[in-house]
Amino acid sequence: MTSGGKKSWLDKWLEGLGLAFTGLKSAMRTRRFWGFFVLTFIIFGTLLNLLGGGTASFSLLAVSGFGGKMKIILDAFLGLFGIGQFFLDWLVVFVVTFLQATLIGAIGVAWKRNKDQESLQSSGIVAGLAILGSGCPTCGTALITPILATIFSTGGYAIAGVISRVITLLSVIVALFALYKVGNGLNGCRLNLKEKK
Amino acid sequence: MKQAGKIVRIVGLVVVSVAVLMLIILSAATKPSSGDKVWDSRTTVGSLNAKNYYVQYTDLACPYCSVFSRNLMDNFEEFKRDYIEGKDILYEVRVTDFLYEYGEHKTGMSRWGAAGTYCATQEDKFWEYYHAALKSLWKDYHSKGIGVSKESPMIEDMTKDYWVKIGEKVGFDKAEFASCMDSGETVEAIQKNTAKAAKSANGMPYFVFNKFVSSGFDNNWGWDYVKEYLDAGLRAN
Repeated sequence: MTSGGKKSWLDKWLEGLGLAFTGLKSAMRTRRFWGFFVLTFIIFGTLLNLLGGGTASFSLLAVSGFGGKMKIILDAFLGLFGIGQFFLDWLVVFVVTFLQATLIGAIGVAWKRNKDQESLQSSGIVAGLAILGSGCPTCGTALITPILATIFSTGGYAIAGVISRVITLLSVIVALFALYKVGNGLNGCRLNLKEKK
Repeated sequence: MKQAGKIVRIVGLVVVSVAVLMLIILSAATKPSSGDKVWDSRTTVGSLNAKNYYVQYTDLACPYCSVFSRNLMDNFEEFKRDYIEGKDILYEVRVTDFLYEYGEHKTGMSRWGAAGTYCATQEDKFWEYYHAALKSLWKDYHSKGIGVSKESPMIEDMTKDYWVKIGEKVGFDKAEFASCMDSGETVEAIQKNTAKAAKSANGMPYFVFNKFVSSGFDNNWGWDYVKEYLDAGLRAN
């Protein structure tokens, strides 16, 4: 949709989306991307699954023997593939982990090309939000609850559920927005490299 | 110079994030045992003079509590043989209406569950009622994926009558049991217990197994993890 030869914001956005896809696709052809992707997917996904029951896993990890520790970590890792998980719980963790891994993979490539630090900050925000959204807000064991309880006293428990869901959703939105930005940056780099050749 | 400033900001952000996460974990997981004494011997299993003392705070509206309790119930004979008798443990269950008092929604389920349990306890039928309630919740909701986690569909049709019917199954008179659940004495006792629990518990379930203190339980865990908890308590003595 254009008026007077100028592109509308929707056209610009769609164009940017196409460019971001092209940029991300070019990054996915590199080994660097997949190195960062796999590492982030495993570490971040396992961490999110460990936080699924609030701080319970960490309490157990602190007192378990070596075998026990390995079992807890392995179960959290296997949970990434839906093993022993409720479908909806798994889906949320998988989507957030996949987006974060893609983002870190893309940033890994962008960092090499143009030292993009703003995107690195975005990935930190995504990780922080996703982690804060973990746990069971209904039971008061979500990680956000102690913070809210400190600010709002016991009233914090009452809003933990809503806030926990909102920040999980926010983590997905921030990740998508950051991917859009990094993808565009990567596409710019790709064109620059072509010109240099 | 500008580059260095940005790197310092990123490092600072990471350090602060890690520090906040550690604070949350420490504050949630390492509250000291308060030298608890038995609240009600009718909700215990094991000798009152046992060497090890385990307390489980729970709420019947909390799905993660139900997973732990159901695993314990399904393996009750093994639990009694290997832990209660084998390891000399006194195990106490403290049912609260924590989610009613502090939760997101003022759901009656938490209060009714606690009231039903309290009334059954007064007639020394705590374990019968508690286990019947866990079985009912499993059959009617949790086995169907309802009310099992934060992402699952919520239990929408819960009524007080649900808990009265559990009382009937255990052998109580319907009208008397319903009247007990509504009485001021019952509500007062539950509120008092929940307020006491909230002094140490951040959320439900909350465990004080000797010196091992933990909050929460993963809804994907089974009996093997319950045993990890029980063993952790023994190691922490």
